[in-house]
Amino acid sequence: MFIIQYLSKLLKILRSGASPPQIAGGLILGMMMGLSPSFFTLTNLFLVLLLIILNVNISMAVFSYAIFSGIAYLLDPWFHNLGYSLLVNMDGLRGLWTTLYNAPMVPFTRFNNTVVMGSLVISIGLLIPVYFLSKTLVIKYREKLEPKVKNSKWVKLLKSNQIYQLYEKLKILGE
Amino acid sequence: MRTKGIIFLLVLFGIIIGLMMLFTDRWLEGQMESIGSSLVGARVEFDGVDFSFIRLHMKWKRLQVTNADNTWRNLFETAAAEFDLDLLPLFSKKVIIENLQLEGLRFNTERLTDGKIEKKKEEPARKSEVMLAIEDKLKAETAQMPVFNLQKYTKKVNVDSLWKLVNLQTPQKIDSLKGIYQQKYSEWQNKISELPSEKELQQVTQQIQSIKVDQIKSPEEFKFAYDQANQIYRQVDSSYKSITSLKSDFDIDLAQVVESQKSVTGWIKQDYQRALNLAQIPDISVSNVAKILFGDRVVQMVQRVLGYVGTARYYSEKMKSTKPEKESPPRLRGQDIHFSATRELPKFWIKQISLSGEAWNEMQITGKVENIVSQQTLIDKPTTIDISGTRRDQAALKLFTTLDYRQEVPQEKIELSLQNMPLSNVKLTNFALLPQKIQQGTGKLSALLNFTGRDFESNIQFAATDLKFDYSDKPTNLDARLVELSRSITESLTLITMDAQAAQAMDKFKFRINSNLDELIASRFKGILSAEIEKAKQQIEGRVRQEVEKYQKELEMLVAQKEQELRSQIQKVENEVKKQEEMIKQKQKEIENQIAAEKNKLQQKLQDEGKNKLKDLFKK
Repeated sequence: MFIIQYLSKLLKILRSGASPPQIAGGLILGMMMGLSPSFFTLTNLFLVLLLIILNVNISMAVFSYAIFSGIAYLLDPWFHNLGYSLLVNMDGLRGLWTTLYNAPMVPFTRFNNTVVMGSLVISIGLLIPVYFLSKTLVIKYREKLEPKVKNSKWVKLLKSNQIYQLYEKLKILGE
Repeated sequence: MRTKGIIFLLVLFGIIIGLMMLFTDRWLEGQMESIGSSLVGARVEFDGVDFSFIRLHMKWKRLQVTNADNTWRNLFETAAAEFDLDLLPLFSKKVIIENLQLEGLRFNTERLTDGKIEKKKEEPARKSEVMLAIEDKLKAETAQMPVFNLQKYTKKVNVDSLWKLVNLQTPQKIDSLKGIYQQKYSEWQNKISELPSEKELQQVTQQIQSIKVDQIKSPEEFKFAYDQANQIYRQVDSSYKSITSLKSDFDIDLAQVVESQKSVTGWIKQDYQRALNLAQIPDISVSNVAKILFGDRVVQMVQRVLGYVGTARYYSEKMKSTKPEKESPPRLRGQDIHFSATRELPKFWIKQISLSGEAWNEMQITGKVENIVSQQTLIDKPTTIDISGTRRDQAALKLFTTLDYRQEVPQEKIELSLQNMPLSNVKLTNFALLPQKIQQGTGKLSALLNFTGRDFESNIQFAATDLKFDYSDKPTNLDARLVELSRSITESLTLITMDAQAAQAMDKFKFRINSNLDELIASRFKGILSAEIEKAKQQIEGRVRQEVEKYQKELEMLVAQKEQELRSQIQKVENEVKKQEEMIKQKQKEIENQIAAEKNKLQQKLQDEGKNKLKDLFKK
């Protein structure tokens, strides 16, 4: 049921009036927040501010946050290893970390936590590729795939599916 | 740019500030309780926490810290406390407190609710590994602590009934030893039978006798007799050599048998000891009494201090380490790495805690705790605790503690002294022969605990003077002998001294306790019980020896008899061979003499013949 819900949400976002850069912007901001192990960090506060101030798609950000939170959970040991290597094993960076650790406000980002550091580095690395890739994909989807998806047997089948209808009713009742 | 978004943000910010004003106190209370509880291992409760954002001022009305060993009592509690936080370091997530006032400090107070917390199983102990290792050694020491068993001293030893339970092992062992000896002797018998038999010896003798030197005429006969004599000599000599070698082997083997016979004495001792164990005859030694009396309390005291020091060292090591070991935290939690730089403020620093309160029966205490800090290296000052207390009746307390983690090797030093402590109604110890309570007396305690890296040394001295005991709680069902003992001990007891030492150096652990009670109680015990114990011991020993004696004698007889038997057999053959050797030597000599005589005779004849020939020649 969750998969149907997520799929339908994604399709709704893609069909909405938001431009591809807005959707891609929402996706990367949600990704950065989602990959972080804790929501309550200065980095995430800053990202929320950006989300509200910048004209990006908030629904996509929420959607992306949910998806990437799950991915973060799965990749946690890897983030921990990466963060530990960066914070402890790389002697060349020690001076930088020490300065940041003692600088005003920076410690509130919890950068000295291995998982926070690992996930932050990965999300920064993915920022530009994911932005451009998602923007291109949205454009391509709208140009080529959207009409096909609309008229596809699967979507029709899905919509005529008893479970889907029941789910829709439940959703209405719930609302 | 979303204008609406910015407005929304401002509204949201306002709401957050409002909520913070309303709920920060409760949130902070929860956070501090949670952190405190996980540090102490039992519930830590704050009441009436009030935090002012504007003044950066915090206060609470009451703080209770549960005793982890007894969760229905508080380790300590305080009344109102307040302090200011430094503003600028807060921006770097650093908590610096100049002076924390703790008033109304009270120890060991009762709790209304149980302060136990459920510990997560997977969570490792937050204590230094070195301290945990020392704690393990102390636990092992407690497990080995002797126990005073009253029944041991009241029970009379009945050797007859005890004997039914004793399973002597010496007879069986002697039997199996006999079996081994028998086998050995039969092996020797076989070896001896390989020596020349009587018949063979007779044949050789006949051969020797058949050489008739006086009947030899020709040189050929001489040569033949001489060769025959030499051959017989070689044969006899070879027999003699094999007998000598056999004799020496036999002597070695016999020495081993005699040596193995000595283990019988050890077996008898083991049987005796087993019988003694069954009889449970008490062994009163000086060290036993001291450990029975004070062992548990001393170990508990050291363990408690170790617990606190272990926790302090664990956190100091964690904060100090530049390359902390990789942990395996739960998912999404991660591991915090701390970085320190000189001239920077530490993460957490309470510069001074001024405390005042009450401890142990209205003793007024005051003191200072200085430099509770996350990284001592940054401020180059150790953490110190200096508390003193006095009471109207002259009782005094002094506690000075230094926790120094500035150098590579951590150091902790704890000095405690209690003077003029009235001991009325103090429960002394769980020793059945001493009264449970002291009616009157004064006590003095001094303890010094010194930890340096992996080593530690603790000295605890206690002295109780002018003692008078309260006999009201005395157990009524004591055996008459124990009553006599108890009376004898307490009548002469006006002073108790105790000196305990637990130490570890180079990973070697040492624990000892001495007390004047050792000598006193042991001597009283010996005076009353020793005659009886000695008698029972002698009876048991006599019985064991009596039971084992016949087996031992049988064994000794077997050894002696077989030795004599075998030796006489060897001796017989040896004598015969010796005789033959002398005979053949005699024959050889005779032949040689005869040959020499014949030679002379022939030479003389030759000379005479030569002379005659020469004369004949000159005559012609």
